[in-house]
Amino acid sequence: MRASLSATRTSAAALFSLSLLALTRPGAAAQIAAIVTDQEGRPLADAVVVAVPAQGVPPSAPPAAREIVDQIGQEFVPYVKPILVGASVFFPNKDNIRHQVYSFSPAKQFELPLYAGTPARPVVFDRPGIVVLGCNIHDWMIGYIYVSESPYFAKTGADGKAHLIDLPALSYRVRVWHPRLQGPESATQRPADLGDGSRAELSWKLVLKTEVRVRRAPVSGSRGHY
Amino acid sequence: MRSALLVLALGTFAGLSVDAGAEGIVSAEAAVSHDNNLSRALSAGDIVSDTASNLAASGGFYFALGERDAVTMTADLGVSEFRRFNGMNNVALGGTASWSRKFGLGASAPWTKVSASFAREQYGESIRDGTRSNFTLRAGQRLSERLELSGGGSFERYRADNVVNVVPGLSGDAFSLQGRSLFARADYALNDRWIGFARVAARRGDVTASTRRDPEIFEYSNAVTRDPAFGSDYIAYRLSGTTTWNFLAGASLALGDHSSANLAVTRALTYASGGIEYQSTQVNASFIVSY
Repeated sequence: MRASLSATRTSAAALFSLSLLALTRPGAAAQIAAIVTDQEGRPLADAVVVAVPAQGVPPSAPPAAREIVDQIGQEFVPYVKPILVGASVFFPNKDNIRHQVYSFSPAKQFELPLYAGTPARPVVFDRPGIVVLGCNIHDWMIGYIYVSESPYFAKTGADGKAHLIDLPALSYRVRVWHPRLQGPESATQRPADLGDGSRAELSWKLVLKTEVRVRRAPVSGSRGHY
Repeated sequence: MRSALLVLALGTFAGLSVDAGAEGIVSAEAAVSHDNNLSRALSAGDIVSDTASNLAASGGFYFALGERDAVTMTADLGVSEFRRFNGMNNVALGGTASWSRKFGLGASAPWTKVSASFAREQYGESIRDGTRSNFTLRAGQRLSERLELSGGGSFERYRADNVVNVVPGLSGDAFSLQGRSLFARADYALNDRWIGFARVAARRGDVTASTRRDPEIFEYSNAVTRDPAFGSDYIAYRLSGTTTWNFLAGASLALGDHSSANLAVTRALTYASGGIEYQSTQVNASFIVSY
């Protein structure tokens, strides 16, 4: 009965929210279908597509969603995580060993001392930008958090496609970022004017730099990772 | 050496008592190696070359004692089989204990590592059997995404089990050696998969060389015994105070996150008193898996 009541309340709240949305956003929502490839024309996964309203992003309350970046098999999962500025991110360690997650990035500097399981407190990302994650025990571990100033973003899948849906009919500046992007992110920016119910198709061919990460595979005669 | 092992063991157990978060580690290596002067001989007539198949495996635990320090303990097994000189075939069984520290946070933080290892070695010709111990201190730093430099020093000792005197008044303990080395190494990542590496080492200490019976060699050596591994007419002799320069260059190709193919060439130049010089070149191709 309690669960049923809770579900009813949630449905009512959702209906109320949708009604408000309908009042503030007349007409059908617009969308952007983005395709990102590398310089060879191959689909590029893990690219973040961000649409920023041309007149600026309206102030909003910090997102309530619980964002998660896992550590599985001594890797960050997902490799790239886009979030809205102000979001809180938990870093659960799902390995049966300990990790020590850190970042030196200007957008967020933090360190989670050696831990197993899930730290009790999340990390709040309160500045837009790129946050590079590392593990002090396993140097090959690297991950990225893209902290977006706009709530309209999506990440490409293995097919290089990303869909930004439920966009208000506005003019946008749309840009793309990828961990191996050569050159500034701002160079990828392009305008998109979206009317009610319209659908814009945008594509990017990114020039990628060679990525050199700390190699996980063994090297003959080296000190090793341990 | 014993005290170093004791300190490492105590450190390990101290860490275990603080936090039992041990991480299991295992690695295995299959290699083929060729040595063009296996006997470390001086004259061309005594030089023998051979190719060996090598298998090595180690397994153990990594203990993070805190945010900067860690201890690693492994059991190590190695097997070598030579194509021509079966007397050189050997099995080595031992262990390694290491303590490492990172001076900061991140992949580019400077690090240091102290390792102590020992191994029992048994050969096709038992006169070479013995116990090897090694103590190494190294330090390094990743200077960029591509380049890591490291260097250090080591002390090694090999104690032969069987001493056979063949020359009156001269020790027969020709296979017992000790030496100390200084080394420097550079690893350069060409891309995500390829790493090139180079190492230079200077070793000061004893070497064992083998030759057909040659009374002249008695003048320079301080121990002589028989060496049936290369033939019934061979003797092994020990020279002390030698200097050996080792120059190594190689490349490693990642085949996956946990495996690699490696090729390395080592040129060794040994200088002893009396104008004695040995040269050898070793080529080693290996496949390594680690978890």
